[in-house]
Amino acid sequence: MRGFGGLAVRIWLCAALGQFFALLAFFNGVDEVRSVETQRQLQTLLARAVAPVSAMAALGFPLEYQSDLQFLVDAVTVEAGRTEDLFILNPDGVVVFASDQGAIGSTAPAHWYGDGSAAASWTAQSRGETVVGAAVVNAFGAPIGTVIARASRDGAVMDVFGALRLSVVVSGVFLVLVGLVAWLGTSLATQPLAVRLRTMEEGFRAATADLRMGIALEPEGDRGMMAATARAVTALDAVEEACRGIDRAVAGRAGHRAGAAGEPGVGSASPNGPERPARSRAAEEMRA
Amino acid sequence: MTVSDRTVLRLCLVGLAVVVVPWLATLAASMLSAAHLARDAAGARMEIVGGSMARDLNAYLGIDISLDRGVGFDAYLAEDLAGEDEVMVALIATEDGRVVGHYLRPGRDDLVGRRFTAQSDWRALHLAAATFPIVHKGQQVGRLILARDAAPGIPHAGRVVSDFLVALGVILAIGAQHVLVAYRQSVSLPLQTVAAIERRAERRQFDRTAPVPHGGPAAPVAEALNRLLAALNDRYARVASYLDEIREMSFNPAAPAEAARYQAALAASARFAPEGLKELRVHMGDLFAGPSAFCGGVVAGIAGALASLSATTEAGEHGILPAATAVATGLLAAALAARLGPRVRILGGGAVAFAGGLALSFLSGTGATLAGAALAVAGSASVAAAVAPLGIRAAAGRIGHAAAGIATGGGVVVLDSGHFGMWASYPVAAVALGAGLLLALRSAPPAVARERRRLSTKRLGQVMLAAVLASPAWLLFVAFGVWLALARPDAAAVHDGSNPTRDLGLFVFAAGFALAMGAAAGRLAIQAWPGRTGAELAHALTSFLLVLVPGVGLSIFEGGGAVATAALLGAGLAGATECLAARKESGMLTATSGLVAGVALALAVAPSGSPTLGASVFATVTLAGAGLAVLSLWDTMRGPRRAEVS
Repeated sequence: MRGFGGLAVRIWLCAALGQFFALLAFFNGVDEVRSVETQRQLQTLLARAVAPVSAMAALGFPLEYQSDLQFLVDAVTVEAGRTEDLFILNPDGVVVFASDQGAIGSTAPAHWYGDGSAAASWTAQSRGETVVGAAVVNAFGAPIGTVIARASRDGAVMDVFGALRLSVVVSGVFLVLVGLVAWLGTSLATQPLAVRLRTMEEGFRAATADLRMGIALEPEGDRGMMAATARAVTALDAVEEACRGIDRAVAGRAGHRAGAAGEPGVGSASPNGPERPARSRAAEEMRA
Repeated sequence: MTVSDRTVLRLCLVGLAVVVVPWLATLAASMLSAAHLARDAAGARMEIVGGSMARDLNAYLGIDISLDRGVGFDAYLAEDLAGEDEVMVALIATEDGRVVGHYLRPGRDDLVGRRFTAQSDWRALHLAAATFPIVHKGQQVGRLILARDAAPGIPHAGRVVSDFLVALGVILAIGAQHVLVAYRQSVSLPLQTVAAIERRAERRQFDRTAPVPHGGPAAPVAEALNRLLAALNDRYARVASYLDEIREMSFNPAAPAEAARYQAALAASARFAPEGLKELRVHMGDLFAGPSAFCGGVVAGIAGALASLSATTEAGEHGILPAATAVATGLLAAALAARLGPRVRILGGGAVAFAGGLALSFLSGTGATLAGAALAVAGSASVAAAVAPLGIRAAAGRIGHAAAGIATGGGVVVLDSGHFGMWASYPVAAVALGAGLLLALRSAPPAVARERRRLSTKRLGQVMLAAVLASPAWLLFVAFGVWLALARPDAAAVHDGSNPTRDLGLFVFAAGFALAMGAAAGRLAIQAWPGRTGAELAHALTSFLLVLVPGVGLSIFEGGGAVATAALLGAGLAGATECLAARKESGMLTATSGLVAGVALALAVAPSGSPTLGASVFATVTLAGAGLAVLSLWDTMRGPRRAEVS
């Protein structure tokens, strides 16, 4: 595992990033489901309000005179848990009845009317809110008002975050476990490589030690660093030997010749002396 | 497979395990959450419906009719619940348990013939019931019971799963590249340096050491090698000083001449540096080119999706405008940049990208479109800068990396298109751009310098063509742009259009994924059948895929299958590019291309489903044919191509 810790950390980082993306997908997915469910709920709410409003509209009086609609609006939204708002608008776009009573009398924003096509009902989604609307017509088919159901999306996001909380905690626990797996897995995966690297390193170390101690290197093949080093060392040895020969040749001439008869460096001054083989061997080594 | 390859593969498997297990857990949690949400929402809707109906019933009883004398409850329930798909069974029961009104949803044949009472075991029927009191004069006189499915389906479950699949694809691509880069940085690069030192040693050059990386598994090896070199140089220093000594101080009159000869022989035959070793500087050109192509692809994918998006939502322009602008500007930039230095080229791309990002944050509408296009150009230019110098054969292998990057970019856009707007895409693009530039700067310069020498001898027209065609990655981007523009209207038709960013991102993801798969398939084909036969075979097959399958597929699945067929189109394009890049000789290939183009034209002229469809097929075929023709022509002009192996 020596040295491979960095790789294990990188793999763990991948897992962490993956978990981040998975949580992003979680958020998107649950948010999508939540927004579909919100829309459905708004449609149910709207359907419950539109039927009585249409029945009253069929009578022919303008909607704003039918004050029991406020009771309807309140009752329906209470049943829905008051998480959504219901508005009834007159043909001018002014809110005449609303679950949020502060809004009565105000003018509805344009985006509540959807994309402006003359459909019987529509859904408009903006970043902050989801709106479902339906047009109300009188007995002659003339538009007499609009019913709008609205849900704010902030609450929905908080709900999704609530659902996400447990998942985040579980992810955290998983990441700790995954760190362990990454560590073990990396050490297992890199074992052959680590063995190879260690062999290389030990070979270099042994060669260095041998070189420092003056022991001859024994390379396994004739290629690679070891073989090249061994060849170089042999050549250097040969040169050194030759130098010694030169040196000793002089020493031998100055002192007692006879004693040096067996020495390889003797007689270096003469071209045919015993120094010759050493020198040629050195030159050969250098050429090889 | 070498030990190194095997180790990378094993590491990737570890990464896969480490990513997939938590991913599965999160997917399960998400499904459970969504199911819970759907159940709650169904319950809430029952409350609204039941409450409102109970109010109606209370009003009815208000005219002093007792509940067990009332009439028409069945008709009332049937009428009122016709629009509520979720209510399976509805009952109106009096306090003593007599059922006066009964409703069964049409189509639930399994419930027909059963006798329901207020005390029925709903759970055994997989139903969940809600009870609403019916009140008259302050006293409960009966109850309304509504039963729905106990486990309502998750709406848009396919979408949730597809988001998770995209997340998995994105993280696997990023993780594989990440592990690859880490491995190459900490193991491959130092080991290649060690190998270079060994090769120098075989040439009897011992005057350079290996740079020791900070940590990492290869550091001890490099250190040991350096010690060995130091010992060897010490040994040489000993011999050299011995020679000096003999030359200066020996009593032998012939010694200076002999020693000088030895010194000269040593100096001529081997190189040592006894006065101090220097580090060897090795350029490993292609080690990081793939990952840098990947980073460029990420930027291009994000920018492509965003550029088309800003056109569709703001000004209502056609998506082809930004795509075409990006491609055209990119080609021009590459042609002009061929004369610049490598660092200028890459840094210029980065500067353009930065300016583009800056502009994107200030502008909207057309301005944002153009800025997005600039970003796309910069991304692809940085890819090209990393890829182009490597030579045809090596560049072909980078297509997979670049395409995986495009898929990743698209995937990030998909994941980022949720509630909070595009807050993660820009940082991801910025990080990818930075990493890509760093990796490219590390790998590109020597190879780019070589390419520049080669290009400077040619005329400008040739330079432009060479710059465009030197890298199949360019072809990829052209194809990508054209494909994006062609497929986009279909995308709008297939998806509901409520989230165009997501749809476009999905398209980019699918395209990039297909391109990566195609590149891998082409590479495998060439590896399996090396030489001309394999190239011919792969080329014919991919041309077939390229032209026939999208046409047929588009006419069969005019909608949902369009994504799949477009993905196949991408795969075919990548395969063809791969083969064109890797083959060694031209000849029969030109004929094959012509044949395929002819078949395709015939197909295009033949009547197909809708006019849009016909136009798309025709455009695809024409563009493909034209592309193949240009390539064939270029191939003929250049003569036999020799694969460069780096």
